[in-house]
Amino acid sequence: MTRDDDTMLIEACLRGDRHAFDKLVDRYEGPLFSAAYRITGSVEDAMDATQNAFLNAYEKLHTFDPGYRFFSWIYRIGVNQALNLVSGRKPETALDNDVPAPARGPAEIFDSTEARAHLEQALGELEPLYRVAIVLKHLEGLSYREIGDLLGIPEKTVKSRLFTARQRLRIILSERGFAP
Amino acid sequence: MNNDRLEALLWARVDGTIEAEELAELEAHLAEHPEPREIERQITTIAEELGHLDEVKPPPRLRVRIDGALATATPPTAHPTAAPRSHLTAAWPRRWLPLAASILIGIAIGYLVHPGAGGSIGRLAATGSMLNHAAPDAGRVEIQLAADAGSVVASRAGADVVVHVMLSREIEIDVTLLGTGGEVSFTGLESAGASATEISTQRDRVKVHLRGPGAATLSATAAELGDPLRLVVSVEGAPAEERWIGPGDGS
Repeated sequence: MTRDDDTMLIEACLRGDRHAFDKLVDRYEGPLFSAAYRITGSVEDAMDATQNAFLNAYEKLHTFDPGYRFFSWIYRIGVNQALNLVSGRKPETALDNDVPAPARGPAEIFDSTEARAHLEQALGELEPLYRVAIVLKHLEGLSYREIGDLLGIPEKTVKSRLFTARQRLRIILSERGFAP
Repeated sequence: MNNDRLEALLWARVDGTIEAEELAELEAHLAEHPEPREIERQITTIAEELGHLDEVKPPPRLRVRIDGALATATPPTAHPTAAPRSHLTAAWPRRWLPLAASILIGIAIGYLVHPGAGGSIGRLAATGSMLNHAAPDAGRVEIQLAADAGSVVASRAGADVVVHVMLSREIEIDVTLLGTGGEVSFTGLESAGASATEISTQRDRVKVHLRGPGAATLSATAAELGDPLRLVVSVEGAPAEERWIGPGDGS
């Protein structure tokens, strides 16, 4: 998929072809839900955030600037929706367990199940502010600048938050006796 | 080398952003001090495991929900009043540029008069009107326009801000939301009678020009949850009022 593909779909949608937007949902439902789940730690909240992100994006599609990547735009909406959901909530003790398993080989899953379970739990205990930094850097592979753009904060702040997030994650894991 | 510095360098090495001098410093330190090897091992493993956390697949019912929501949503083409995101200079006709400049200068002078004025903004130099001195954490602010011309009510919950504008007569106003530290994103404008002739967005602000009578609702999102926003209202081209909008109840 390319930016041009997205642009064509957006133009078609703005001309009244509602089903063109379905293809954008096909493309970005997975990454949006995954990021929202990592941030909220809840399947239901992640579904709400993802649904609201697509709904808002659809209704405000005429405001989208084609000079930007559509994915960046809707991803930002989704991340903010997820952050809103957790902003007034106490930190989760663990992420939900009713999530479909990731698409990896059984042997690989077996080998890393315990490590991932500890890591998931520790991630769920971070404050959303720090959790989102980890998610965007390590799971989405964004650069400091991209994270800063997405969250609307300076690159320096991104580095600072990421440092704190990683340090807390390591300390949590060490305190649990899980020193990877 | 203290532990924070050590940890920062170890992560920078994992990220591939470590400078050559820093790398030499780190390696020399690790050679002389074997104790931090445990931290090094932990960081390396955490980074590796984080990279193995796969994308979580959404439950199939999510797509059903999205499709259902989209089926009843307002099509984007049904919003003729809004303009694409653009910079102030591109979105505004030349005749508005002096006004925009005067507003910005007024705000700048206000800051000079009251540097670091905490929760209040001070006085708008352009008009001399007293401004709201409410605490910056007020999640709901209200501005009554002079001569019963209407009202502007802003409510904020967490990052989301909604500004309801009611204009009781034929009047033109500008409503601007400014971020004080982070970005503000325009998410929508619904009008009921009032017409929006201009919408402009920049990284740290969203501005709409409305013409009454009628009502309109502006929606925006602050990227920083704790970032106080400023609501600036100008009536018929003259700066009128400013208010802080705090994060509200965060719900």
